[in-house]
Amino acid sequence: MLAKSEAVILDLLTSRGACYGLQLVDGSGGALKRGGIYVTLGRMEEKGLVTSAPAEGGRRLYEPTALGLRSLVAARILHGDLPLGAKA
Amino acid sequence: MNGLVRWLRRLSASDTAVRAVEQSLLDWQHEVDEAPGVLGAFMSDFRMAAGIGRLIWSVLWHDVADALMKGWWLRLIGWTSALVVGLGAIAVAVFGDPRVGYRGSSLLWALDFVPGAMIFAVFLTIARARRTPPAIGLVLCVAATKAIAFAAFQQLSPYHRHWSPFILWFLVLALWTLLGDRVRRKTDSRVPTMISVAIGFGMAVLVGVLWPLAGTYQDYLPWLTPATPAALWFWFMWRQERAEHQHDEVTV
Repeated sequence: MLAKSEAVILDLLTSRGACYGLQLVDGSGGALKRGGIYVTLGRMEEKGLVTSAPAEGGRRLYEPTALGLRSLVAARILHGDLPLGAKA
Repeated sequence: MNGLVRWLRRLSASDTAVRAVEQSLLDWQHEVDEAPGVLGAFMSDFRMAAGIGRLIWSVLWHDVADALMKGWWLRLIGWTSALVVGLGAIAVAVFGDPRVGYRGSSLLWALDFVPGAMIFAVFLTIARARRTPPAIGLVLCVAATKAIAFAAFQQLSPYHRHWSPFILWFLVLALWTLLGDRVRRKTDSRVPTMISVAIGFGMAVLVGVLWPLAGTYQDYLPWLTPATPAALWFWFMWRQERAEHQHDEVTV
């Protein structure tokens, strides 16, 4: 089961590709806060939902993993946003 | 910034916490660098400063929750709490007087066994999970568990309406543990740890004797209260020493 903030992050990473934490905050329309974004991303990394790599200036770029994408699809189906059998 | 990260690592904050702080500070720097003009930089500073409070709480909650979720000591807390409530319920059923149940619960709360066990359970959980007890997490856990325990025994026992002074024992022993652990890491010797335990236990016994002499509390309570965490502590150290010994044997 994905938390709401996790679903928002995976949604943004799926639609925009690899992002910095701050870009996720800016793109979330207020759903994500800059004070909590990296703790959430850290938790998601521990779960294997996202992965990160160091980029310019030591900042990390985050990407969804295959497990993260599957979890997002499952969450969408669960909430009725996608019909069963659909692919993200 | 590296200094702050080193400081956090010294406090044994988790990797997630350290990275969250590190990345937030890098974002802050990046925003200020990219901001147009002095006003833009000021606004970036303002936004980030507003986010710092949330960041600190997020990090602290993450570490404490993480430690809480990992520990089998939680079962001890659960069973102990169930024991208190269960004994109270049985006493009420047997004696038919709610006041007896309240007093039974009150006695256990007065012993500080439950709050003490909770605090040390969390503490030992953190210590076992990370090997170095995180100072911030420890202080938070002590404060949080004491607040929860206080709220709980306010509910359970209307006859017990004071903050127990014995909470100091748990803090003293926790600090001794931290100190002993730190000295041990520096010297690679088990002696300082055991000395710190002995001093902590000795102080507990000393005040355990003085307390009833002062007539502040019943005779046996001050003995049991510091003895409980001390016994838990000894057990924990013994387990850790044994685990390390076995690890050494396997490694050799």
